[in-house]
Amino acid sequence: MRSPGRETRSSWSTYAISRLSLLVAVGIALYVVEGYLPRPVPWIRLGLSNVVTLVALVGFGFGEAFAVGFLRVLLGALISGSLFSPAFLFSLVGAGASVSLMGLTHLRWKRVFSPIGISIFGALGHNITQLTLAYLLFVRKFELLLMAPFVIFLSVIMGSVVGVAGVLLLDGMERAGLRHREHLASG
Amino acid sequence: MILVHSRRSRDPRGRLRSLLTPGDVALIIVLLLASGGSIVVLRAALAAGEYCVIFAGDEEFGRFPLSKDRTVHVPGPLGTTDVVIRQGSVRVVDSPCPHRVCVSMGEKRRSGETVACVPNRVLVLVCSRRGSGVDAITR
Repeated sequence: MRSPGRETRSSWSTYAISRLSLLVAVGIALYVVEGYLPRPVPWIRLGLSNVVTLVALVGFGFGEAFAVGFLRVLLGALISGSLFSPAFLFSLVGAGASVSLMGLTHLRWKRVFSPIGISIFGALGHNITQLTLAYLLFVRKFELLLMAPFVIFLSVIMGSVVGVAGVLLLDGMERAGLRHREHLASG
Repeated sequence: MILVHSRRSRDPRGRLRSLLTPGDVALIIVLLLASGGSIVVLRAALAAGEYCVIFAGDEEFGRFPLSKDRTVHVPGPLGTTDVVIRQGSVRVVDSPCPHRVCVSMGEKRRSGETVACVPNRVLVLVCSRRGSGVDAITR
């Protein structure tokens, strides 16, 4: 049996596949549970399911984060019944921007920002992209862009919450024997 | 056991402090200040009304810029409602209505705000050129 820390990035070992499935499953569970939480306006979400994308990125690298992010959106839409609807388009584009920005931050500024900072970048990417998309596709009103400061403000708060949750999860995984730190060191 | 526990701090606040890098703290502070400041500035800039529209009954009585101080006497079925425009705000100072709710509503200066004297059928609506914050008025 191969050690978890040693599989190569190109081939998906059984370990990596089950780990990926677990992360996606946790992400979907969070997504569904979060949908039942009361919120002031329907289009504001906490973005809790981003925790697993963050954990995948910091723990296991960009490729896995990308896979987790997109599978989460796809299966989440399948469960909530919004597949190929405008809401699905928003989720997909938001997740893509979020993962890309987090990946870039993690790649270039790993020593500058902790997972909390990376998570804030992810929330910013997600929300600003969605706001821009809403402006371009639906509401061509200048007033919509004036929401940007509000969106940034919320992103920082929600990104921090998700970041702290991600750090706690990474910590717990490390204690449970999922040795992500080796991956972190190897890139 | 004690040694093992002391290696990883159990105090969540201490752990959080060791988690946040100076980059994180700078990012959070800069973004919160910039967005919070923008929200405050935008609210003040956008919400300030530029003129008011006064309705008497079903008719528009007139439009008056809030930049010029004046007193407007608006006729209604009960008598005259006195509307005072002063330093960018508008208020009803006197009206011949029984409860004088309109007088107690105080001064309004933000776009979209209204003062109404329902018994005397007078409505004051604060607007700005960018839009009143109201889509339409139905009567």
